[in-house]
Amino acid sequence: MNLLCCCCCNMAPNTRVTRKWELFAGRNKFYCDGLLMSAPHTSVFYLTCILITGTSALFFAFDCPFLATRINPIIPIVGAVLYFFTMSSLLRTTFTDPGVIPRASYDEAAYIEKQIEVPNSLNSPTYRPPPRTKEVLVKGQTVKLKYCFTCKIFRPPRASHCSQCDNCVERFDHHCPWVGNCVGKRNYRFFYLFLVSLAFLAVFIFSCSVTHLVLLMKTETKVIEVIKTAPFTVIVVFICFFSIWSVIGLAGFHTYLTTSDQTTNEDLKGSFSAKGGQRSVNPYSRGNICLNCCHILCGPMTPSLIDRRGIATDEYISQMQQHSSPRHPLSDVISATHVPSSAMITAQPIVAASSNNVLGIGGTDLKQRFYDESNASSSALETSAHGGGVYRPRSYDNLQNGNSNSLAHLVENEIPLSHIDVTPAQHSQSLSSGLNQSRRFRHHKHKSQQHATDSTDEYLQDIELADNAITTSATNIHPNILTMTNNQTFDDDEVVVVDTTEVVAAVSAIAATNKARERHHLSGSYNNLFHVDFDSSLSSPTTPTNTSPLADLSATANADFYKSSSPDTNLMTATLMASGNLPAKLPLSISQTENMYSNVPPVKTNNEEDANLHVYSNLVDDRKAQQHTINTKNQANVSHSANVPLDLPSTLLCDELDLDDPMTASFVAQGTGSKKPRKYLTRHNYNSNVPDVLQTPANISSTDTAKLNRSTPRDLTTNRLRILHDTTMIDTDLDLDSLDDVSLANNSRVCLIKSPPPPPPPPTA
Amino acid sequence: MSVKTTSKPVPKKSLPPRSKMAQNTATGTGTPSNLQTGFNKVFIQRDYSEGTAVKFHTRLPSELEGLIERHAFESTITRLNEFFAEAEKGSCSTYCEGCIGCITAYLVYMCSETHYEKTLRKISKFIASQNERIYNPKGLQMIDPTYRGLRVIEISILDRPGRT
Repeated sequence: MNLLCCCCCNMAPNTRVTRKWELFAGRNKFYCDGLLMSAPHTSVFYLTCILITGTSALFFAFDCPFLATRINPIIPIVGAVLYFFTMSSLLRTTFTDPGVIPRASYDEAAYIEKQIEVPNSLNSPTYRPPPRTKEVLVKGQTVKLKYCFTCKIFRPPRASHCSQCDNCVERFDHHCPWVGNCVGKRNYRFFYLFLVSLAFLAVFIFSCSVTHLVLLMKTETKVIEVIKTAPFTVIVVFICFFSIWSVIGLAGFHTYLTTSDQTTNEDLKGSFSAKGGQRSVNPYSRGNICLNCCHILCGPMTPSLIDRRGIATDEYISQMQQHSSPRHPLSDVISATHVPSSAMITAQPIVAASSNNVLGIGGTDLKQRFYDESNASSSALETSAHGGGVYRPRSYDNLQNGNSNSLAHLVENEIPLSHIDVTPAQHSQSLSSGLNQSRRFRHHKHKSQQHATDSTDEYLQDIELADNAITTSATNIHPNILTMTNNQTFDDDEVVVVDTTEVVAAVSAIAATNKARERHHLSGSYNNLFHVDFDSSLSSPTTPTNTSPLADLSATANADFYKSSSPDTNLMTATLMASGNLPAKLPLSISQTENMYSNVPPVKTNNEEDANLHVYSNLVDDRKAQQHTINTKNQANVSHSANVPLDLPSTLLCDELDLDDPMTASFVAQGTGSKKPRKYLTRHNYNSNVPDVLQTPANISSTDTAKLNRSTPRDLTTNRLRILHDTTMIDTDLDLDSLDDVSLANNSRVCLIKSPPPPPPPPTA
Repeated sequence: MSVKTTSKPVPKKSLPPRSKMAQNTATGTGTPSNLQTGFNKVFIQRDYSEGTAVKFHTRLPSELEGLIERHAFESTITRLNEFFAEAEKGSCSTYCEGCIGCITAYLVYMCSETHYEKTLRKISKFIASQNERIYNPKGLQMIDPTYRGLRVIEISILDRPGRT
């Protein structure tokens, strides 16, 4: 075990590989790129360190000079040796893998499950099969092996599952908070050495300090004077006195355990005690005290089984995950979504990692969104290797992002719906007749300047085409829009131009992708993303409907036309409002990246200058605009079934696609009624998904107009905030009390808060 | 304008046969495929009759009945068990190694490997040779238990349609 770790683990900064520790399923903390590991909560460990170091420092500072001169200069040396030995044992105990048993790969778990016959079929994900035990004979003794639902293995004898670290540990002794780690097979000897050396150190310091005080007492007569002369020595004496009892007690106890080859766990349970009337003899003991001690303290040490610093290959990740295919989920979307009457241009999956995928959108061409395509084959959606939904999400660390742990990477790998093109064939006439609303998105993480350069021309071309399309319309808004367009400056951030006609495909894609995700049994953290509050009522107030085409256009333009950080925004706003007589408030700021994974509450500020700032304020306004468009569309196109345009606001088509955009989902939800979204999220039939989605607006007017009217902006905000809060990677809103072994061991969402709290408090970001 | 129409979603089961798919990619075929060339996996469990030492059952599992001779399989597993027993044996040399490591604060292990690790290397070589000579010709692949946390010996049956 390498104590000198930090200087040795300089990775080449440019090549970033994912090591297995980053995908580790348990709750341990890792240091030095996987060299060291400890328990999740190490605060008491710091206290231990401070106590030992502080006391020793006081001893060295105040007692040693006196004693070295008066008695023997070897005293500080012995003290120093003891101190270093104690600290090194402590550090080794803390940072050594205690003997964590790696969790079963998916195949292994399935194989074991097959062998254990469960009479009732597992229809419900929360069904808890009876606790499984397996009886084995260990040296003639019957030992029950328990099945660990979290790790999906039958625990070896003497292994136990540590609830704090969420691991099964071999020869589990106990979880020691003072040491900040479990004590198991691999670090028991360090723990024992730590106890013994700490006992010696404490005794040594105590005796030396007492000697110091006694010697002082000979010169000084009064105790008060002695205390005043050497106050810190008195402190040291006190600390040592109180700690000696516990330390010596523990050391003695563990000496007994070592000689009889038991663990604290077994001793507490009385597994091998004679009290039970000769219940059982310890089958693991070698019968001899010396042999036991030798084996436990000096015996061979198994290497760490969890291979922390191994590189997490795709193969490894796929083995550990419950779904197998490393395909990008968009490929599922593409293949699954079916727009019956519109031709959908499907993007090449990002796996292709090609920036040359040219998609047509109503005549315009889109460049594939540029983002970190080195992760093309593994998507954030494919989630972590810690078993999807099984394990407690360890924030973003468990993401199977090839290259980074950054939060932004979560959305980086999302496929933007902008790739999905829908020809405007099915679009309603008023909208599709050349009005290719363009919505610009800013992708704040651009891949490279070269890409930006390459794409800029494309974007300019796109804009021009869009502008041309716009100009065909007779509204007088368009010149302004054109002006806006031409004034749009392209900076380093890539901008994806998306056509509103894609919205239809977008929504269907969202639905299908949600289904794909669900099918892929994503992690608990991502399951939260599924749990969008479909039943929540939309919060934007109904706006007076304006069925004039002009209003339609303007409303759509409002909804979909964003500028980033452009002073022209307000100008456009004013223009549009003036001309379109818009009841809805325009979005005040640009949806940069609607980052589901941030706790940042929506900021209702105007003109967010920083292009790279994640701005969520437009969500509120988007909702209103969306509602407005919905209402207008519903009024106008109730009869249309498959082609009612879902002019969703731009937030749905933001460049960093959040397919779990609650706005989208809630929009879909409100379209299909309260229960339907859930249903078709769980439905396996892709064929019917899209038509349902496309037909949702038809249902809106019939059933949910009331719902639409219900909400208030404030509800939207808090709702939205709550959804953001719920779905944040770091701070998922889990009801951990409802988690149990079974829930952890499968995809059950028992821990997810399913029903929306009635007036949700604003989340603490 | 390039349009690629998807008229029907790619027919696939709603819940793909996960083990099959997992096995597909587990073989290292980086490309995803919906082909039916999955394979089954058989897991040889640990034998705890001698305590917590690493030892595997030597009984030939039923899934491998016709694929490999019983004696060949048993000899492989027995040899593996012997290797592990040697690794975990507490002999004088290992005790001395432990003591020296303790005294030097285990800095000595920066330079050399523990006895256990050396034995694991031998095991790895042995398994590779067994695979090459015996198992792969029969369409089997034995995976080193080190990669499975010393819990199981995984034997993959190649070219067999996977079952969930």
